[in-house]
Amino acid sequence: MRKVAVIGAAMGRIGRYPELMFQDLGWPAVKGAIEDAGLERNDIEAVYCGSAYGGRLAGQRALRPLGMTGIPVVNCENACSSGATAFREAWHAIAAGRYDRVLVLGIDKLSMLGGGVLPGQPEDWEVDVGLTMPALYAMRARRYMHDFGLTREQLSRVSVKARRHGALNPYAQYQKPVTLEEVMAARPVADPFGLLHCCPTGDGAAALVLCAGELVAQSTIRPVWVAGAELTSGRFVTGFRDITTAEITARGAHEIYEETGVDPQDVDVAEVHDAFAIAELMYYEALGFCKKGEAIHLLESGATSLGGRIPVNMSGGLLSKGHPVGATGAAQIVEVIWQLRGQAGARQVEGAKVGLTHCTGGGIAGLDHGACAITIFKT
Amino acid sequence: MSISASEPRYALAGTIGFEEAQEPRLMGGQCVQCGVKVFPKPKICSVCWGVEQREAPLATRGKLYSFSVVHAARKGWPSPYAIAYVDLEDGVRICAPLEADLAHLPALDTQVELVVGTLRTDADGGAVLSHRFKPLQEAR
Repeated sequence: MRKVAVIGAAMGRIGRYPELMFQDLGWPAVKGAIEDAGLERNDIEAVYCGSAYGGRLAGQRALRPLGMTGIPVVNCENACSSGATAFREAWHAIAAGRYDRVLVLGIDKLSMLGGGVLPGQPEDWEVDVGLTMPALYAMRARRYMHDFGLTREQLSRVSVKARRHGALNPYAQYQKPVTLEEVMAARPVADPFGLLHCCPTGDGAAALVLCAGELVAQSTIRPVWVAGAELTSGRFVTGFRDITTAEITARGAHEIYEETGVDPQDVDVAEVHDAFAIAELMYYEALGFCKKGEAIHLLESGATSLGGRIPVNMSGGLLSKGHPVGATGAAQIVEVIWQLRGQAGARQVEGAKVGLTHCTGGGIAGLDHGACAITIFKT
Repeated sequence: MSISASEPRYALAGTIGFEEAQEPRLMGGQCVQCGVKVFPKPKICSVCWGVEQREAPLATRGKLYSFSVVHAARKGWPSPYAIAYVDLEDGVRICAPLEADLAHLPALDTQVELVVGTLRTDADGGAVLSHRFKPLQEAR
């Protein structure tokens, strides 16, 4: 397997852009990433595009305005992990020697679905009796609170932290901090969650240029190396299972730590899939940043805030930066690339050398989640 | 005990049967080859790939594993409503509407029992029924 580096990264501010065509949401990120890499469009040999709700040929539609079709375009759908899945496939294609320079695009425009909760998975029996995504996470939260004594006030601190960091990120959908009182008093969505315990729906696109290691020297930009990119799917369990443990994430994390030789203690900055407040806490534990049941202490100690031992979601995370589902994995990677290059502005983690992104989701009955993608980067 | 086929207005077709005394039962599948019980009844056993599945009435009682009161519902769903995971006595976990007083919510691990009731109304105003669970009444 060949070494692979990321040499270009770009994204637009996540938000709600109902007036913008899907293609016009996408091409600026593509153009930005190629220019960032100091390349031209003809240098790109293939494109991997992740989108969950973009419909058919999402990649071709975003590339057409740039006159960039005519090369292989692989469209990937894996719910929240679509963009990260596209990244993993692109990385593997270069590592295996198929291509030298590949572009990854993550894109979704959720404003075209209207507002409110996302549509449920068709033919899913749990959805047919009233399960929604917020309710699924809310049930995890209630069980976690019951088993580990977490309070709703503590849970709300996750959202306060997210919005505090999102306020430092010009690419975030929400750039205004919130108080604990505001989080606690927000209108109910799925008890114990109020509106501010849930990520917003939004529109966004993020793109990356990947390059074979031996060609990196031709580029002027400082490369960020892909140490490993892990993808797995949830195991189908027919009986009882503990929903306070993020099974798919813990298993994926174990695999990538083995594969890369990186320990959780080595991670300087991480972007994790905080679609709901409880998720960030569960993922601290599943990713090995702390022991089971101790996540809130890690957060309250400041360890996962800017200046802490293991800063998590400096972008604001999904709760503040926003969650254009299929774009999220690529947007997380853009943030970590900027962090490792020292380009993250007011939210920069000083001296960050090892970064991790974690993306998981897709509600499907009997599985912890549909998909989980974890990527580790090194300077 | 004879189990009759379900009526068409159930949210999940074929999942509710009735005993002779008209007590409802939630119907799952049990693999003839390896015995694993699954809800709803599958066409193939995910454990042993056995394709022969018998209709199996599931336990009517279980424990409330977790629940949420949904305020932001999908279009066409009356809210708020409570949705739960119930762990049945025979080892099957069921996602189900929870029939409870939303002002006095039950504790987790409370014993619950099966009832059948209205889930929502469909586009032409008809009631759509489904399995539901409610906290077991203490003996008075």
